[in-house]
Amino acid sequence: MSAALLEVRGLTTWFETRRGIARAVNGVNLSLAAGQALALVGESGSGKSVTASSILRLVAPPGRIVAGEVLLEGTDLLTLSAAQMRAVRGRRVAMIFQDPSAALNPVQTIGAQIVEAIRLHRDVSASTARALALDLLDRVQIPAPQQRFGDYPHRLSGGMRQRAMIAIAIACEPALLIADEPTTALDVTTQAQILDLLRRLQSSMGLGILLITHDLGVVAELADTVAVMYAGRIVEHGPAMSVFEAPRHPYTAGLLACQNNDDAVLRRLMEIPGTVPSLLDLPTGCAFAPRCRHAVAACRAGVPIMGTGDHAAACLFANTEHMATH
Amino acid sequence: MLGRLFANKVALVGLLLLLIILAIAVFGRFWFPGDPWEMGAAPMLWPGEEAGNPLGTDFMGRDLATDLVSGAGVSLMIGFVSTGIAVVVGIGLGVISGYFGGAVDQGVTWLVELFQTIPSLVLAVILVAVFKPSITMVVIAIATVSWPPTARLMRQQVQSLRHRDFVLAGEAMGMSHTRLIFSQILPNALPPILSVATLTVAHAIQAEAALAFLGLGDPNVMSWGTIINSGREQLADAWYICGLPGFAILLTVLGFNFLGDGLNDAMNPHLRDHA
Amino acid sequence: MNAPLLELRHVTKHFTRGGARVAALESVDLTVLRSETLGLVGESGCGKSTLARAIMRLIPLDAGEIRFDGVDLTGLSRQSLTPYRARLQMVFQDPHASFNPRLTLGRALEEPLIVQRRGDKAARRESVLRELDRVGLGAEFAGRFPHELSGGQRQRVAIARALILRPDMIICDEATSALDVSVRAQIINLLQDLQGQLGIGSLFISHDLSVVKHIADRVAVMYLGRVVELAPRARLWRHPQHPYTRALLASVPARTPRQARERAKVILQGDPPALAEQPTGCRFHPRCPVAVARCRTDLPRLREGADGHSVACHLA
Repeated sequence: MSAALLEVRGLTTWFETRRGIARAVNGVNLSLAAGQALALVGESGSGKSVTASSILRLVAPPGRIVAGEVLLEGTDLLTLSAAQMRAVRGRRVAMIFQDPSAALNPVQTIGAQIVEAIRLHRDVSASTARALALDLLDRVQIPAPQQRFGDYPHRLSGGMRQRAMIAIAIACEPALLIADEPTTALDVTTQAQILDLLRRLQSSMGLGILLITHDLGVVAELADTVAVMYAGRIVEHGPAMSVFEAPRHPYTAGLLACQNNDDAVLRRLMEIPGTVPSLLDLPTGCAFAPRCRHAVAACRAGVPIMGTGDHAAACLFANTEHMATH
Repeated sequence: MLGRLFANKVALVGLLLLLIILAIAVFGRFWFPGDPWEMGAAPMLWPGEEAGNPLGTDFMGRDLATDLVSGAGVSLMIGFVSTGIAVVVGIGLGVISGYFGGAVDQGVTWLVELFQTIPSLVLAVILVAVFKPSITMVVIAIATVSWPPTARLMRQQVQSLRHRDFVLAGEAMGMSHTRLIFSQILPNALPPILSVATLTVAHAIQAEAALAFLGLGDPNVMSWGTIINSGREQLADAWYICGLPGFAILLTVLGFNFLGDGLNDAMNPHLRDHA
Repeated sequence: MNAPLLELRHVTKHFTRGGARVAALESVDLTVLRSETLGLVGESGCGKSTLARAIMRLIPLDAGEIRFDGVDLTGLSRQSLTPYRARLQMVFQDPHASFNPRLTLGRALEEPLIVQRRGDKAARRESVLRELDRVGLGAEFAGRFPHELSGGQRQRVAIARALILRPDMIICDEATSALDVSVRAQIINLLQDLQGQLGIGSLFISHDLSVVKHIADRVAVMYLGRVVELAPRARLWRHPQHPYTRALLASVPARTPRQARERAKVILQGDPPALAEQPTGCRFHPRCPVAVARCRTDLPRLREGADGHSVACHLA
């Protein structure tokens, strides 16, 4: 049993807006072992991106982390000073984003950006940094690295920009990579390439990956463990295979059913009626109850508690037969 | 949006200033009735020296308070009318240029750049000097130099809206160019113009004062600029003759600036909320 | 009897970008039958959105014909085109951008009727409420503004707007791509129901193969401005013949982790070429795993084979 690389306990992040408090993240617990890939799955409005930003303490006001612990290799990141946190970002934890065009500096060559990332945390000469950068470009499978080193981001395709961003992220050999919707903006063939690259890096570098996504296909391809998020809370977590094959929370079951089925020709796609609740105005009790066909009075009384064990769900009906059959 | 505007204290100060000045322009003559041209009192009286002339008199014995009040209306009117013309011309050219693109756009852009390259005050001076100085000419001259910024902004707005999906949807259901421009594009393109327009009024009032100071204003009309012009020779001894209208212009321009900035701010978060 | 409603012949469109002439569409031939759904798939840069806008006559063509119910739309003036606009409507991708932010949705829905001069105010009002109901929205939505609705709700109104003129055909340009997964299913079901009820044909454009697989009767695959394969849905998935189609289908993520681990990985190498550097011969040959010498020099034409299955490949 590998030691926990990342352990998040009770993370709570709220946004104080003119219209009230948006409770984006409420008591989130996550656990990621070294070299493993954990997918944090949810739709828009679930709070998954805010969770990722909170882990790296990149939440801007009016957002505030109001409670919780974020333990990276044993150290609680929330207790570090700003200077200490800067030493963590990029060096021990790195992040890649959805839109590489927005995340890369348009007036700096990609070679220069990788070198900058290296020299921020490592005391090496310019020529050593350059050599390391070329090696990184090769590792992320960018062809003709010597030539690409001097290219500006706009000369690269979407897929190559994403690779460049990955190169910058792994420049200092971090233990954890947070990937926020890394393939959402990419074509499906390019997405397959990037997922393949992430898998290779995971095994060659022992890189732990926290993948934020709404795409269950991406989860199936990359994740070892899964945590499903809805309205600011984790509603289910467990090994990927187990969650996909025997979901324990109605929301997870609903999401899986929404993807159409390969085998049978469904005349209608399964749909989840209703819409995601606003984070400003969460219902009392289980946030999913208004849309859930299994809901009973007890569901609205109080937020269901997460079960115990490797694969668990926060639902009164978690361990019953209901979920498995569709 | 109005709510946000009213929450902005600076904008409120500006609005208040303008309302006061407007009130003076409209109702001031009830407090200071009389002909502003009447040279009834002793000349060069300082403000407060004589009870009947609270703000003093100029070198011809004209009561400055009456003059200022009368001038307020004139200066404001010149400011609004010339801005009105400039804004209409600017919107028209900007829309045509932004919507149709191509050669039309190139033509209008060339025209805009031509007018913006020539220093505006010089151009205004030339126009008024060539044609007889009259209030009409002053208004036209100011409008002529004020239209380019509006045209540029409008062009930019229209260009960005032209290819938005809802405009394409309108075209796809068979809307004519006219309908597309008036019902889809203009209502969305106009809001920022409001802010620019208030600042343009401020510039126009200053331009009028400058022209009058140079002796190019309409000599038959009492505006703030005319007062400044009349006090030019007495700057050393009776500087208040220039100073008082100058101060009035300062307050007016300040008022428009505050309001214009407030409008700008009020509209931006409005747009942000909808993103 | 399913006659062709929309026929595209040799549709060609070039753009000039930074001095270079880029072919967005090259000699595209396509047919959509009455009451069928033709799926059009391809990745970014393949020209599918350009094609949608060209069919809707929102952009002019450089060459080719667009025949709607037998009439060539490219030859018509703006005036003569107006009645045809009522018969061919479009649903756009971005539900946020496809509505005028200053108009209420009721007013936005009335606009097509006003422009096409259908009915008086009372009749229009009635139509608006009827269409809203048809897409599952209550009458109160007529008074709301676009920003007050969710993406899924806005897309419903977009569908209502496309249908209010009772067109013969609609083009859905990535109509579900900007929506969440759970909402996407709702919208797809709605589209299918409405098409069935009203007997409307559609051209459904998407990069998402799983959605197209569900909704389309026939599917066309595009790569760099050309149609490379066209087949009935089931056939395309079971027997894809073009190497690009095969790679595309294989790149779709697995349904479950088990499937991901068990299936063989087919990763397409390289990136689509920069738009200005079109390869000679078959546009796909630089990335094609089975390319031969001929592929570099000869451009393959779209040839019709058995069972309505067409492919543009020398090796098929």
